Amino acid sequence: MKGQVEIMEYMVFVLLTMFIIAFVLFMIFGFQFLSLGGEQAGEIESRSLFILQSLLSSKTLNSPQYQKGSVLDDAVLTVMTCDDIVDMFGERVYVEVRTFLEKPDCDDPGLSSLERSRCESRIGKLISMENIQCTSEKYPECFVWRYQGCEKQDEMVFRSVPVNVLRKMNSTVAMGVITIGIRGSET
Amino acid sequence: MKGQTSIAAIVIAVILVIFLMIFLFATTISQQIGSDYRDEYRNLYVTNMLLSLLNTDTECEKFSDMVKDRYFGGAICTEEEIVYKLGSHINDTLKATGNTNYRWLLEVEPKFQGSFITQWGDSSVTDEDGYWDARTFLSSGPYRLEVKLYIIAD
Amino acid sequence: MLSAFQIFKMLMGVVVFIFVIIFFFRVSNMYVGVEERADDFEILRGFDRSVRQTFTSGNPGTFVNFRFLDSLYYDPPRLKSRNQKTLTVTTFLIASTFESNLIKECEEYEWFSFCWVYAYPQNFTLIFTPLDGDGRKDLIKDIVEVMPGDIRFAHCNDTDLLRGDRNAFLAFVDNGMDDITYTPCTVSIPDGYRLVTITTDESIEPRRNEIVLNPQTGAYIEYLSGLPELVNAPSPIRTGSYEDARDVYFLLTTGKSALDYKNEMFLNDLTIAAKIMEERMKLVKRKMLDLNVQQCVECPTPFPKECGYTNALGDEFTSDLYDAMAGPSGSLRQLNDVISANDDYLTALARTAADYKELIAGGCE
Repeated sequence: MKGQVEIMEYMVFVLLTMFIIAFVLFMIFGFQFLSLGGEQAGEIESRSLFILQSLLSSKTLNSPQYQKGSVLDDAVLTVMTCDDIVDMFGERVYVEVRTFLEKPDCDDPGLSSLERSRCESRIGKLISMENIQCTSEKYPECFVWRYQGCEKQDEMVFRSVPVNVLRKMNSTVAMGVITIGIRGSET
Repeated sequence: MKGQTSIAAIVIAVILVIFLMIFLFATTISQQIGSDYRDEYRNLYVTNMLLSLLNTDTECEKFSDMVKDRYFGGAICTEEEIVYKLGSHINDTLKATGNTNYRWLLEVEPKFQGSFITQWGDSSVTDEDGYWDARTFLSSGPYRLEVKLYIIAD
Repeated sequence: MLSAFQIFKMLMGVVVFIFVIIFFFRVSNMYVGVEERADDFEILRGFDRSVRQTFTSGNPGTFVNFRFLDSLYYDPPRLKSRNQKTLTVTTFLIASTFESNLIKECEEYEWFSFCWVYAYPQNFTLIFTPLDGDGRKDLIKDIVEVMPGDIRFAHCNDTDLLRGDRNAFLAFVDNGMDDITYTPCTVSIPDGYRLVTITTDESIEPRRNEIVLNPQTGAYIEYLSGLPELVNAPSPIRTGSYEDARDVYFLLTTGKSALDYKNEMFLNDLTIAAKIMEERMKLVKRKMLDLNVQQCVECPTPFPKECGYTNALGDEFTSDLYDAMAGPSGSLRQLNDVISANDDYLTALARTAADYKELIAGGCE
């Protein structure tokens, strides 16, 4: 019995010593491995920011009139293709731009209940219009730009920022959002 | 028997502490590296939100003109219209970028004497920590207005 | 007499000891490689980050960490360290190792701009030895004009080397250079310096960090410049021709391969932008006609369909764009065709910039 206890104690002691040595080595060398992994995550962040900022500052995509901030030209967005995106960035970046239609205030206390329900149904129509995807035929009565061939994929990292879109046909500037998605496995 | 139990307990305790340290160490490293870019992205987001908002045309007038008219006259929209349109545009944008349940405040501070500060939105936003903010300037002749946008998650 | 258990403990101890030694040895070997690669990796990534920041913000920067690398080889757009760690950065052109200044530069054409980040050595000095050839003084002045602001200049005559800043040097070129009969510079040219020898004598061969320019034929001979450690490089002497001072600026600081790469990037970006702009103009014009939208140029009433945005001004832009990029069939040319054709496309490109500026002034854009 005492011998068994002694063997067990000894095994536990050896196991613990090996564990502590491994831990010490990990603390010394593990930093490098973790940093590299962290670096890769940082690299995706850096790349996604760079692609976003390149799109936002591209002279071809922006209207020349606006100096502060980005105002994307809706006609340029309409004619752009996934091949152009691949040529610009060397990879299939998911790009989506959407704009919003101005919605009426249905909570105005001056409205009757009939007027309120008409108002709400109008908002519903506007929201469904906001999902009309742009093609040369649908332009300018469309509000979303996506590019066939540069589709959304599950393993992508997405980033979105607010942006303006110039509606060229009626010369108004709309509020919108640009979203990009990149794959993590690129260099 | 008692000795065996105490050794086993010590060993288990040591192993648990070591795993805890590894876990904390690993999470600290990954947070450190991600945070620089996260800040840069947040700054880009909220700055673009402010600049785009001011540049946007509405049914009455451009938001930047609404701000200027408040101080220099010629307002076309009513106060209710202004607040509603600001909220509607900001909320649409936040929703489209996956950020729901945010409160916002747009504050205008004139950089000339004898004038007042305007606040639209939820003024309690700046009482709390962790808001995102951006600022820009609008001018009318020699007069400058500092426009600040604050947003915070609920 | 040792018991079986004591023998077992001793054997176990030896086994654990051997295991720990082998483990330690193997991990530390891995670590040495990882540390070196991680260092190279970190330095190149750090450079990439600095370049991106300079590119997106437009603010000048610096990068001084290349001195921690044993060697660096630049094969545009790839930077390779001795340990074969490679970085591909498409938005920069590098001039130096060691302490570098980073600036963003752009070529602007109103509707299109081509920008890059240029890394050139801090304390960079350009030395001129004008041996002979008409137009050598003008060539020197043109080159000095296109260089970034803080570069210093010098002239060299045999072993005589005199330095100065831009203004002092330009004053010397105008007033003092004619009084000197130059002979080839024999001073050794370290990294961070470039010697420009201007001569019509085609037998003169450049030394390291030297380029020979022929002002009459526009030919150059360079000793492959850029970075000090060249791994598996072909012959360092390269020849070619230059168009203007801007080309020389690239040759001097980055070498022929970087100049070729920059031209390739420029034409690549221009092709994409021109194609998009052409499609966009067609769409806008068609829709304005369909929807009867009037913008910019004032039209008489009744409003004829040809007026407004759809007038000759918009057509002129598109037609000049075609001249810049199009082939005989009327469709936009492929990149190779443009490069191999003569350079009239640059003139047409300048015209498109002027056209577009008029469109903006007219309120059409």
